[in-house]
Amino acid sequence: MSKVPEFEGDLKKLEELVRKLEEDELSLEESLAAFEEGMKLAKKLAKTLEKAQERVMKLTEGRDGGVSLERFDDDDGEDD
Amino acid sequence: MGPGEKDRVYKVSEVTADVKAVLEASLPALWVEGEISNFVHHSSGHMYFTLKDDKSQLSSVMFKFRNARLRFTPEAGMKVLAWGRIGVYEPAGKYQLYVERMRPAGVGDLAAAFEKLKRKLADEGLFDDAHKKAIPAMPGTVAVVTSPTGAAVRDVIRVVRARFPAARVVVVPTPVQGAEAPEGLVRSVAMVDEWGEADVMIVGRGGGSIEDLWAFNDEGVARAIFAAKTPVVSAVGHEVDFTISDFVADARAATPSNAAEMVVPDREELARAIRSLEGRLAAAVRSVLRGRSDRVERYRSAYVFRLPRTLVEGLAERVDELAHRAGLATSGRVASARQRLERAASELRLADPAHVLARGFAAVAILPELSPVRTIREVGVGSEIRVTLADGALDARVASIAGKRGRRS
Repeated sequence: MSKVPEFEGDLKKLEELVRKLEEDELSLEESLAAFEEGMKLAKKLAKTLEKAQERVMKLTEGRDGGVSLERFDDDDGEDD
Repeated sequence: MGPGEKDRVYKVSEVTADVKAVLEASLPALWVEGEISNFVHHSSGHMYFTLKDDKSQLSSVMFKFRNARLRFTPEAGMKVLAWGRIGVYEPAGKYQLYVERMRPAGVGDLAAAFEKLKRKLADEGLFDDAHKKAIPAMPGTVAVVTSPTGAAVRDVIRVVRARFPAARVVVVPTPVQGAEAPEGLVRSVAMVDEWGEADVMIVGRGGGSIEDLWAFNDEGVARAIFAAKTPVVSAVGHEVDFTISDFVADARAATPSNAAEMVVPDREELARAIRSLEGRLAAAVRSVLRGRSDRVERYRSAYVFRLPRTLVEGLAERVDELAHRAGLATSGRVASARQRLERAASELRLADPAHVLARGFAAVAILPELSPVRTIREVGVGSEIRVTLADGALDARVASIAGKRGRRS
C-alpha cells in the first residue's frame, strides 16, 4: 500500500543517473540507457505526486486483540 | 417538657432546607486543601470521597461531567486542592463539598511534579539525542494519535492533503485529557508501534490549559513514546506549552499543523525538483551526443574516411535536433525520444572510424605531417605514408599508383 518510500529511492536513482550523464562517465549505449531510465523514473515520480489522495483511515483495537483499520469519517467533507 | 404554644415545630426536611439555604447563601465557592480518603469512583461515573486534615473531614463529591476533565487519577492518601461549593444533600441531611476542579497539592503540585519527572527522565537519558530516531523524509503512512473530534486531527488531515496527498493519514482515536487520557495515550502509541505500518506518528492535541495538557506530562506516556520504534513527533498545544512528551519524542512541533508540515514534504517543491532533474537529464544526453559527434568529426578530418560527406555533415545537425527534441520530450514522449536517439546512435556507430576500421578499411595519411590522403593525387611514388588499421598503424612507402580503371598517372 505504502508506495511512497519507493519514491525516495527512485529520486535518488534519478539524481545518480543525471550525475553520471553530466560527468560523461558512460559509453554511448549506457548514456542512452541512462537517459531512457531517467525519463521513465521522472515520469513515475511525477505520477506518484499526482496520485489521488489517500483515504483517511482509523486504527482501533480489534475485538480479537489485534487491530482494526477502517475508514475514518472526517466530517469536514471537503475533499480538495 | 414539650414545645410551647408559640414554638414552631419543624419538620426534618424544613430544618435541612433552612440549613441548606443559609449555608449555600453564605459560603462562596472556595478552594479546600486536604487529603483524599474513602475514595469511590462509582459506576455512575461520579466520584465520592472525603477530604480530611488532622482535625476534621469533609464529605465531597465530584460529578462525572466534572471529573471527566481531571488530568490525574485521584486516590486515597493523595493531597489535593479542590475547588467547589458547599452544598447540602437533603436526603442525608449532610453538607458536602461539590468539587468542580481538583489538582494535586503539595509535592503533587503540577509545576513541581513536572520538574521532578523531567529531571528524573533526563537523568535516565530518555531525552538524549542519541535515542532520537530520524523522521522519514517521505512517509507513506502517518499515524495521528489524538482525539478524533479535536482541531488537531482536522489540522493534520488538512495539511497532509494540501502538501502531500499520497501519504495516508491513519487516525488513532485517543482521549487526550481527563483521567483516562494517560492510559489511552500509552495504549495507542503501543498499538501503532505494534501495527508497524506507520512510518511516523504524531502524538498530540491542540492548545489548552496546563491541566488540559497534563496527560502529556505523564510518566507512562513518556516511557511509551520513548519505547516506540516508530518515530514520534510530539505536537502538544501552542508554542509556549512544553510537555514531557516534547522532550522525549524524536521531534517536537509547536502545533499539530506544524507537525504535519514537518512529516510530509511539499508536493510542489518535489515536482519542481523532478522537472529540474528531467531538464538536466536531457541537457546531459544532448551534450554526450554532441561530444560523440565531435569525436566522429575529429576522426574524420584525421583519417579521412570516404564516408558520404552528406551523412557525416548531416549527423551533427541531426544529433542537435534530436537532442533538442529529447530536451523537450515530456515524460509521455520517452519512447519516441528513445527511438530517435537510437537511430542517431546507430548512425554515430556507423560513422565511428573505429567501426569502419574494424570492418577491414584503412586510413592513409602522409608522413610526417599526417595530413589525410583523400585522392591518389596527394601522393607520389616513394611518398612515406602511415596506414592506420583497426589494431594499429604501419608506415610504408608508395611503390606504385593506379587510378580507377587502371589509368596510370
